[in-house]
Amino acid sequence: MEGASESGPWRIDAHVAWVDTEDHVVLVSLAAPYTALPWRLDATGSLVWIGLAQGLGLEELVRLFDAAEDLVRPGITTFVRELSAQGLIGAADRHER
Amino acid sequence: MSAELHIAEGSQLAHAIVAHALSSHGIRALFVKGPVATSQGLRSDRISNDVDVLCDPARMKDAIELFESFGWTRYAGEDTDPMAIGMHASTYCIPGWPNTIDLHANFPGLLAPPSESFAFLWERRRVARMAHHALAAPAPADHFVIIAVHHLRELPEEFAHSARLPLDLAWRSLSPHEQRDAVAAARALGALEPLRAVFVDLGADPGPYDERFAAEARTWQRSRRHLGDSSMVWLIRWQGARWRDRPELVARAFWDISMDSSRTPQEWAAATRRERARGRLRRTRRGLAGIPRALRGARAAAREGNPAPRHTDSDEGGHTGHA
Repeated sequence: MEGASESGPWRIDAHVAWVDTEDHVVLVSLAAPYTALPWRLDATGSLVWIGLAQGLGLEELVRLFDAAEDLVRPGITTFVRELSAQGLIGAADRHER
Repeated sequence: MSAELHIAEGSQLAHAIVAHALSSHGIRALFVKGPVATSQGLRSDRISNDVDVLCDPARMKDAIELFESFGWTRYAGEDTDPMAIGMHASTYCIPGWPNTIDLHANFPGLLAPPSESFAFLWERRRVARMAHHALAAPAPADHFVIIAVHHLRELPEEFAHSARLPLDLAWRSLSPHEQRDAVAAARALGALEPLRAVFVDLGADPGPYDERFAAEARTWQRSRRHLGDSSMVWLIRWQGARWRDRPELVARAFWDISMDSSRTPQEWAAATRRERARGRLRRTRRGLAGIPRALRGARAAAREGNPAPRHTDSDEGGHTGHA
């Protein structure tokens, strides 16, 4: 995972604006020329995102789901890696909001 | 992930984008109306399409250049200096987004010089949060004044008293101290006389008559007497424009079909050459036909002692910059 630990916690990057509605999160990176279209996360991604925003680590994120942890963990790990690779999140101790 | 975007979500995100873009370039800006007003309790929670930004008037050109460097598209009047031709705002679209961004240098009805108004508002600004980002907003009392003049400018003068109902919620959201402060802010911003009847209706004491900005006040009244009359709007712009800007003003008034509100600028861009030519002809005829009426209005105002205004403006439709 680039720029972030495997187990968290993570921080949402200061250059990300995001909105959470009842069932999803929409986010956009604040970088010139500001023409990127926002991303809408699905229900699962939104739940993880809000957990990330609350400073939860990997194991806490896994426990948010009512499913076998070994099945959930790889999906969350992959998702968090993708967010990190896109610069949307980073290690909590190295970012400030 | 997908890229669907609803207007309300887009509005909040676009607020954060504009705030980030401007502050990154050291351009001071206050976010007004819409979800910012809702967050201050001044407005019910209803969907807003626009991002309304009051920009430091001294940096308006920089802000316009910045937006255009991003590839954001001007809603109407491309390549125009909106300040030079007396428009108080310029509207932008971020390609692919459902929201528009109204970049204001001033609000009609704030009759004090735009730089003074902005300095006053900036000094008293508050922090609002939108899409998990901080942005600058007017203090609630000041914001009430902006909302009130904005609301009033769309009402004919004779219906000024009916302005009270929609402003009740905003007024009641203010503490007694803030209500008194709103009257003081209106005086500082040159909005006391435009809002005098509204304050009286709301039960506030507007205090003594404000003699300053008498010429601007008459222009404001003249705009409201001729709501929807685009000829009068262009005449007021003509009177407020510098000579060197007047040729462009004429071109925009008669030739720039993107500013004709019978279609959106995008629809005009997609129209055939013949449709645009017919639109220009119609616009020219309408403009020429409206000149005598506008001149009669101007002469009547001159008899009242109304000199040329200083970049006071009135829009001619729901969107800024149309005619």
